[in-house]
Order: sequence, then structure tokens, then C-alpha cells
Amino acid sequence: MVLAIRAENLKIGYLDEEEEQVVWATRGVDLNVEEGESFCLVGESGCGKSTLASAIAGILPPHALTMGKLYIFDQLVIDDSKRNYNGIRGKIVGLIPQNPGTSLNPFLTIEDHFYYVLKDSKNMNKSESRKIAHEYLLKVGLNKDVLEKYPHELSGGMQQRVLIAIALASNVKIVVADEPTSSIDANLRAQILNLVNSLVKEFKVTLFIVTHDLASAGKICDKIAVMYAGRIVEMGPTSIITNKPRHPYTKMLFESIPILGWKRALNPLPGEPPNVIEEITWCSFRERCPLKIEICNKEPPLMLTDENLHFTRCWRFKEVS
Amino acid sequence: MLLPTYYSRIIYRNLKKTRFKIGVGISTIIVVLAIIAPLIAPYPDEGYGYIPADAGERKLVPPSIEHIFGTDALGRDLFSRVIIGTRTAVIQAVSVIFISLIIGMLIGVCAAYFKGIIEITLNYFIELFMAIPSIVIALFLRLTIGQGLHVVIASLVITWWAWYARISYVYAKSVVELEYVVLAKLSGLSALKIIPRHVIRNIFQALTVQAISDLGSALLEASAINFMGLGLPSGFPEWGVILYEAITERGIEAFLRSPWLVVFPGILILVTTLGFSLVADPLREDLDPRLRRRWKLWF
Repeated sequence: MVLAIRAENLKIGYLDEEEEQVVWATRGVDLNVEEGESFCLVGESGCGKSTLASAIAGILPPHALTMGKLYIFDQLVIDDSKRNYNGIRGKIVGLIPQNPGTSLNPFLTIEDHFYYVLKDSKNMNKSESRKIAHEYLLKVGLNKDVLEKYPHELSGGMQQRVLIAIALASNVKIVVADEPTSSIDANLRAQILNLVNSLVKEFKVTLFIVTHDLASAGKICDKIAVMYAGRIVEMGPTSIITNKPRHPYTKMLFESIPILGWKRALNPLPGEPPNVIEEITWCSFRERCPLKIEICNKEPPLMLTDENLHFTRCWRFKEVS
Repeated sequence: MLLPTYYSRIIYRNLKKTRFKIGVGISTIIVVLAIIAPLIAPYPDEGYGYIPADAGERKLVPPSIEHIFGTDALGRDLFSRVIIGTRTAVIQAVSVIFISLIIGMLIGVCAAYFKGIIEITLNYFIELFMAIPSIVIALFLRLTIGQGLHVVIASLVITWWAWYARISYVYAKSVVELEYVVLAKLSGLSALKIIPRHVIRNIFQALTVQAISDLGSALLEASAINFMGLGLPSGFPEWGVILYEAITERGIEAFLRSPWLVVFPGILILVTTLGFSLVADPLREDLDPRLRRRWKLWF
């Protein structure tokens, strides 16, 4: 068992407009991702999941503040404020960006996109990169004609497939996908996610996928981590998380998803996530939790529940479910 | 910079428009004339400003078969002077636009790409140079380093680059916020690679169209500087200089008694400027369909 990604108390923050206060996007994340598994990070908007993904992919903006440690294949990439992604970014970790429309240069053909990526990561010349590009385009279900085309001549789904092919073409070991399906049609979502998952299994790549779509995450991933207000509140194998959630937030998330063909009352989550500027020393879900008691004024640790490798950050996980 | 097929596709698409056809026709004729001018000029020496030996007998001859455009006050064949002047006109316009385009594009893109203090400083510089009229620069250069082609080109470039810098700044500003530039920047690609690969490639088309449509204005400005006697020396084959000589030597009589002296160079300036504008106009519409005219002339 080799750990692909290991985060220890990782905190990432940004200075606010007046540069007086630090807004912590992630407030202490402990995370273990094994090699070859597909790991899914879910959470609501603003909980810090995209920031965590960009920290792993090595595209944190220079003004971001970091604390804690992040290892990628036992190489220390974030050591408190020091960040060193040399040899990692683009060579071990690849990224599938969020918006395919704006992530491709409209004045470059698809072939050139492959060429520039492969030239920088593997020192390839034009004909070699063309061969590789052709091979990977076939894998994502596109034909050879696409090589000569410009991005605007492709549909959104095809652009996303091209981005997946580019991310895989440089033989990376970890693929970070930051909401890869957020800008495509609902009927294409499952298709793209299944494609990513099957390719990842084929090339034995570790997949780190960020989404807010719990239903599709449950279908393709081995492991799910639920993030809330900058912390991972529950983490475990997909089947346990979906069937027996041990954190009230996860449970309420599942209760608020509409499922086609199943008539039931949806339970919306009342309230708002806490303000991330302040230091939070209590359970961050306290205000919205139906099960809160006296002990919730203390921050719960990430605890191992009775099931294997299932962690939760709740004092009363036994009473949930 | 871009694929040649891309350009040929644009030209082919626009060739259906009559305006574009006329413009391309005029511009081609002007450029060809500029290249072969010494060959077709009947008196090439006189075209370059030498006063012929028999000048005394043929001063101010009206247009005839021997001298198609007539002769000027010093007895030189006007047709040769005007035709060879085409060459100067093209050299002036193209070099002014080309040099300003390169300088302006680099400075504008740098201002948009490197934010913070560089952006503010460069923008102030751009505004500073936009505020100075080129005639004033020409006057200054005329008084300090004398006359010549370099004075015309320098005085125009000094004021002209700022416009390209402003245009490329505005376009590049929106391009650098796009995800492919941001991701390339965050993943540590150097600016030397990002700027030509992603930024300049995206704004180049708009700048080219602007440059082509400015060729006419650059020619007009250059002729104006020469007409005031600030640029090229007297006797140089240039349309502005020919007009300047006619006015200084003949005064108002140039219009009344020997109109060919002012009419022919004037017409050529007009036609050349029109030709360049007619090329650029359809291209600009192609780039931004909102600029399309609702009304129609005969073309």
C-alpha cells in the first residue's frame, strides 16, 4: 500500500482585500489517498474543496498562505509556508480543469495543445506528440480529425474529453479533476465520469475528483470524503458513506438529493455554514445540527468509527443513522 | 504567427464584398507601382529631384503626351516624381505602422500581463505619449537632428505606438484572465513562453486589422509633416513634399494657374488612403460583426 496523497493538518488561506485578516479556505485537513484508488471530495460551495484540489495539483496562487504538510508520493510539496512542486506538477500530478471552454486556447489546434504539454513535460517533438495525441484521443472516444480542429469547432463534451486526454497523455500518476462535469449537460455527466473512471482504472492512475454531485460521486468512486467549512467531516469507503453515514451533515446531504422515481419529502438543510474568518473552536456544524448537545461546544477530532477505515468528525456518531 | 490557411480563409471570405475587391485592387496597384516605379518613370533622375539641363525651356508645362502630369516650377517631370513618390509613401506608412505595432504590442501586453506597479507605470507612459501631437515631435526633431526619412518615421512612431499599446492592453487584459493563461501561469510556465503562445496569438488578429486600417492615416500624417517642410528635404520624391514645393514656390497661383501641381499628388494621397481603408473595413467587420454598416453605398 503506497500513499499517493497525504495531508497533515493542511491549512490554506487567503488574505482578504485589506490584507488584514486571513480567510482560511481549508482549516486543518488530514487526508490519505492510496495509490490507484478513486477518491471523491464532496461538499457545498465555499467549503474549500477546490482550494484543496489546487493545492494537490500545484496551482495555488502565489499569494495563498499555507500551513501544515502535504506529501505526494512521499515527496514533501507543502511544508508550512514553503512550497516546492518541482518534478511533481505536470509530471506526477495532472489536472482536468473545470471549464473546458476557457481552458483551451482558441488559436491553437488540438494537436498544438498536446504538443506544448508534451514538449514541456517529456521533451517530445511534433511527430511523437502527434502519435501520442492520436492514441489518447482514441481512448477517450474521439477520432483523428479532432487533431486538426480548433477548440470552438468541438462541442462542450468533446472539449472535456480532449482535456481528459491531455491530462492522461503525460503519463501522470495522479489526476486531479476539479468539478469536471459542472459545465456540461446532465445527460453527459455520467458518461464523462464513467469515462474518467474507466481510463483511470485502465492506466492505474489515482483519481482525485472534486464535485458537489453526491449521487454521481457515489457511483464511480472507491472512497468519499465529505468536507464542511474547511474540514473533512466524514471519510470512508463509498458503500459505507452512502448507506450508513455517521455524520449528521452527510446524512442530511443524502436526504436532500432528489432521486428519480422515488417519491419522498426532501429535507433541505437549514442555516448557513460558519464564517471562516473567525477561529472556530467548536464543532463547525453545531448551528445546523439537530443532534447538538453540550459536548458539541468542543471541536471533535476525526474519529475512527467501528467500521474499517471509516472516519467521522462527530461526538455523537453512534446516534446518527 | 497564425496558420496561413487561417488568413487565406479570411481573405477568400471577404473577396465576395465589392468594397474589399476595390480596396485590394487599389492597394495592390500602389504596392506594385512602388516596387517598379524607377522602371516605368519616364525621367527617373528627375523623379529623384535632379533638375534637368533643359529645365529653363520646360517650366510649368501643362499635361501633355511628353509629360503626362505636366512639369513643376523647376522643370522636372511631375509624373516621374509622383510615381517614385509612391515608393516613399509605402515605405513611410508601412515602416511607421510596423514599428509602432511591435513596440505597442509588447508594451501593452506586458502592462496587461504583469500586474501591479508595472501596469500602472506603463499605462501612464502610454497616456503620456498619446497626449503629444506628432507634428510637435517632428518640429523638435527637425530642429535638433535635421531633415530626412528617419525624422518622419521617428516622429510618427513616437506618438503612434501608444495607440497600439492601448488597444493591445485592452484586448490582452481580457485574455490574461482566461483559464488557460491563469493555469499556465500558476503551473510555473515562464512569461516568455506564455506571452507569445497564449496572449499575443489571441490579440494579434485584432491588432492586424487595426494596423491595416491605420496605414492610410499614417500616410496622411506623414504627408502632413512633409507638407510643412519638417520631414523630408525639398526635392525628395514624396507627395507631401511635391505639394509643399508647389505652394512655397507658386503660392495661391499653384491652384489657379497650374492646378496639375496640386491635383495629381493630392489625388494619389486620397486614392491610396481610400484603398487601405477599403481593405481594412471589411476585415474589421469580420472581426466584430457589430460594426457592420446598416446602410449601403453603391458598393
